Amino acid sequence: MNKILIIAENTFKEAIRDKILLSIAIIGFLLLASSRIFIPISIGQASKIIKDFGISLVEIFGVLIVIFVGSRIFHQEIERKTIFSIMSKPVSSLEFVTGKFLGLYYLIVVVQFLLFAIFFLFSKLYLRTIDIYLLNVLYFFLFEFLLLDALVIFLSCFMSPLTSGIVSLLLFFIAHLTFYLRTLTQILKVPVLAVMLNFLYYVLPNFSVFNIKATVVYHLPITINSYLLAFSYSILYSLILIIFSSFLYSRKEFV
Amino acid sequence: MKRLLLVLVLIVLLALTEKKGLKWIPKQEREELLYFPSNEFVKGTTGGFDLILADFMWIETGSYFGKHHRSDKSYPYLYHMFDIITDLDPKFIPVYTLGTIMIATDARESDLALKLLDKGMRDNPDLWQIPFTKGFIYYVHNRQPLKASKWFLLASYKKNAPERVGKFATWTLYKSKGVEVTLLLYLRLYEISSSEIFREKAIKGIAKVLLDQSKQFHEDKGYKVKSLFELYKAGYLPFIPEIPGGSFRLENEKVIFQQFQ
Repeated sequence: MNKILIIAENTFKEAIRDKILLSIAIIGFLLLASSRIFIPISIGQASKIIKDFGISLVEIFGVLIVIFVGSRIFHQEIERKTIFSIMSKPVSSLEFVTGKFLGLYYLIVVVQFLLFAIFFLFSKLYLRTIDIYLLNVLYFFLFEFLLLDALVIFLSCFMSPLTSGIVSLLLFFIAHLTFYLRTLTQILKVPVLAVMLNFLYYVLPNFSVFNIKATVVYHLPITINSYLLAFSYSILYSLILIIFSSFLYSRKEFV
Repeated sequence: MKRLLLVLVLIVLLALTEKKGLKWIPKQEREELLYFPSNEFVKGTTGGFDLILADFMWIETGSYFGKHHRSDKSYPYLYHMFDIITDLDPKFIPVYTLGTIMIATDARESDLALKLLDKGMRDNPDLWQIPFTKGFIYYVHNRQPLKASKWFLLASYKKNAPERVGKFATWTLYKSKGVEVTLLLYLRLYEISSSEIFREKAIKGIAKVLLDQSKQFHEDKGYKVKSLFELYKAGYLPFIPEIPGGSFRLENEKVIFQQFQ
């Protein structure tokens, strides 16, 4: 466990120094600050639009950080040749992959809290109020990013940084729309396609379980089942991906 | 220095190309909303960012409306835009309350406005504002007070509906000459109102119905009616309204409400 935490800590420290993280954070800050422009053009819907814009930006930048930092997480080790010193130590592939996964997750948790604080700050400045109910969405974001983190780590084990970044981004969008895969099977009525689409429906992660943005913006009640589903789905799926990743990583050859 | 000059030349060329080039494209191809997506496309491509897309489309719709309001006053895409916004965010209430009135008033397509309101009621069955807007469109644009009163009445039964909504129902119904239901609605308004002001308004409403019916009697028969019973017997009233704690009577074509001691 100690080894995992040391790797996680190092991953976090390295990621913090990453220029990409800084660039994304600055752009995120500027965009959140710019939400002021919606007030005069929102036709009476400034409060709703600023809230929607704020939580969407927090999510978008979370996704970008996980994908851009996560997709290079193993590649950087190889590039800097630090992978060889790790390999020479008694660290199993599962410990290494889990450490990387937790380090990246630690980073995203910090960034999410920071972005939410910035969002609330501008919300107070522009709307003269802070909607605490919106914090519910943070719980769902954190489990969404846990799963996305595991997915990016998994893809990075056998893909180049660029490919895993693009595939992760595509998967993130598709994973929000898995419901339509089922609808497609009913519309197409082609047995082979139906089997394929059904397979994709069950294999791809279903990110819509984390999408409660409309519920929080409209202050609708959130059931305990939604919290439990987000928690259990994310943890179970991530565990499976991490185990697969460690298996793939153990078979990787570094030349 | 050479590179900088090259970049400057390229920027000028780009600006000229855009400025001149746009003139060569037929106006129809430049229609601002050719890019506006179809409902099916939008629903399948949001990637979980439905709300923010709906907000951007709301702003875009505002700009579209403003632009055409200042020019040709023609809004062929207004319904489509609001329809997509509510596909993305079915709880975007201003689309139903403000947007549908824009469709009915400015685009003069009240049927489409009513269609959008039906969609809104399916997605938000507890809101009083949507059936109320439907009543408004029926009354103001379609000139169908009977249908309008039905929707005002439905709105009045919704949670958090202000008391005045019920009054709208009775008023519009009375305008449609539905005397029986109007009296029933005023009696209902009196019964459910906790506010003295609304009870008084209900009494005044009933008195006005009785007075108008007695005037109608005078006009039809050529003589003044003596009592409410006579009015009832002649078929001008479906029943004689009674309110707990008081009664109505006619005196020289004036309606008097007398409270019991």
